[in-house]
Amino acid sequence: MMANQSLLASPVRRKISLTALIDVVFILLMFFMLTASFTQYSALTLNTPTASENTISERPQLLRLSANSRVTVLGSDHSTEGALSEVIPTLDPDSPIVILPHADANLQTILTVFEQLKTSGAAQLSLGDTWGADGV
Amino acid sequence: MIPLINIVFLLLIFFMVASHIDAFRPADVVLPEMDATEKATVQDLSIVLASSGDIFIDEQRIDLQQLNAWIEALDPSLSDTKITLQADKQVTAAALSPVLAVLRDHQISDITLYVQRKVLEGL
Repeated sequence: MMANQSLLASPVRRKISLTALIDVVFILLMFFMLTASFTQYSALTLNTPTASENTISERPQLLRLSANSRVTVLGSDHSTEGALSEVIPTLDPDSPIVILPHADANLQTILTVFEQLKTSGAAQLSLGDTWGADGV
Repeated sequence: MIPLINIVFLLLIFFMVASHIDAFRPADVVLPEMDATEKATVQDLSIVLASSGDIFIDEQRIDLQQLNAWIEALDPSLSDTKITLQADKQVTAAALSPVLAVLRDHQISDITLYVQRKVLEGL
């Protein structure tokens, strides 16, 4: 009889000790502080030249990007080489630009070029084939 | 004691509300930094490209042939499929190019690349 009674909830509600509560809350706080990430992800629509419906009518400007961020504008008569900021004024922002990265150029380098061209007003940017992998 | 727990509660609420917990990425992928992009939207399919050049789908490492087969096995209405690419910022163009070529072969032109906003200078 005594054992049976002790299994039942005691009618007096005991207050949770504040120390125990704060321990749990601290653990929760630690968990959220350690797992929290405040980085803002965003998306970039990557245009790759597919055989898509919007075929380019005009001749695109080819921009060859080397692994050390030097760019070369491949023109029909002559090519201009230099840092991107020197080359940007020679480009026409209204006609499509295709970036041809070197095989060793990393994604951050490519995207930095994308970003700079975008801020300079170029609207039609796409990523073309790589070069330099086998001596091309 | 009471003011202390109040502060701790406030901190807890702050971290719970202001942060988000990242989805698990199989490899140690550091996304490239860039500004001037659109807001990220939830996409159907996600390909992870690690800095070593390994390709992961659903936390499984696959090679280019398997990627090819995987895309072929997708829904036939492929032209509407949105693919996100989470590539490490150290991935070279040589490693990125074959993945894009596989997607291109399947007429997938809607590729979204995940980037992270630039962290403030000096932080």
